[in-house]
Amino acid sequence: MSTAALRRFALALALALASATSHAGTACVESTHDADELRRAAQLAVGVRQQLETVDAPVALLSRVGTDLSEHGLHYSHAGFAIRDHRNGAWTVVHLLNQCGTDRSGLFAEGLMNFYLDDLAREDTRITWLEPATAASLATLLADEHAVLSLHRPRYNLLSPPGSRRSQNSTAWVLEVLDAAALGTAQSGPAHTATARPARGDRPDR
Amino acid sequence: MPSTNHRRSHLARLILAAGLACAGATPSVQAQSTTEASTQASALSVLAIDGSIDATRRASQQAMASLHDGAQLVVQSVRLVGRGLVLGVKVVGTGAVLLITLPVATGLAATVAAGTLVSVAIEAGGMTLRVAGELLGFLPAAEALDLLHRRELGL
Repeated sequence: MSTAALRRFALALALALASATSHAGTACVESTHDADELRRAAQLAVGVRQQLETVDAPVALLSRVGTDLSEHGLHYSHAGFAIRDHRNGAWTVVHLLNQCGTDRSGLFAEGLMNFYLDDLAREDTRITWLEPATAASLATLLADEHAVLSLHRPRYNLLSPPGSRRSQNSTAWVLEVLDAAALGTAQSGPAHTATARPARGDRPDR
Repeated sequence: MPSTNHRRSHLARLILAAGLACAGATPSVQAQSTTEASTQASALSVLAIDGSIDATRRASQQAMASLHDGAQLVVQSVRLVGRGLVLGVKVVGTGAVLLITLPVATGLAATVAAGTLVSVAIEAGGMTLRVAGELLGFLPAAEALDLLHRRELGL
């Protein structure tokens, strides 16, 4: 994916997920999974890992359907980065999760099975590969936990657009990380987004 | 085959390890106490499979290897331990006895009793256990368990 295409994709993702953030992933740890949820998550995780191994790339964007948003014309409800060489294991997913319906969020490094155990509405997922240069930059950024955390704002808001100074949601965090990677710098976040995105023609999502 | 004493000792280690693993775990089955585990180990010379998603991995995988696609199991005993269902089963044909722990997050679990026939099927990511076609439990394979972990960044 070229930088321009990445930007278009990011904008499309922002628009597509703008009303979907209420269905983004959560970090509730008390849930019990039944046999069918385990089976579905394991099958999907193992299959996705096999697919991820077929491309020589350090990172991919993974999207899942946590909630059926088809009535809104939307498909995927949550996204995160799958990282090939991660300290917690191959193809660990790094993503932002809401803390059990509160106004807080955290960044989590999870296995693929965890990623797909979070109340899947459909066994449907998308792997998005990036241009090698962007992927390399993204992998470098994601390997720096301090840099990753610096792009996180713990106050969670469903309607928070990318670049908000006060709050963030799963999609906004993904977009800001992509933004930083596309620019080849860890420089991103509210101040940067507020000036850079309009300058290159990005329009805010309502 | 290991000796009976060896197997009993091995089982005790398996169950104790499962208990330790589950003690700090997030969802699914709560562990047996060490005392219960020791009693269980004395009473049965079996391999243990912990189907909770936090189970000790190698131990369960070793026991799971004794099952094959299409295997039939006959339930011999059923016991509730915390939020887990512990099934004592015998493999039809080989006579091997297994102890399988499953989360009780299924209504079907309440209908399982001694004599119930359980079918095993190998699928991507693990094994399914079905009773009359209905899914009773899923035992994640090692390749799936490797994809099961969680850490919050910055903590």
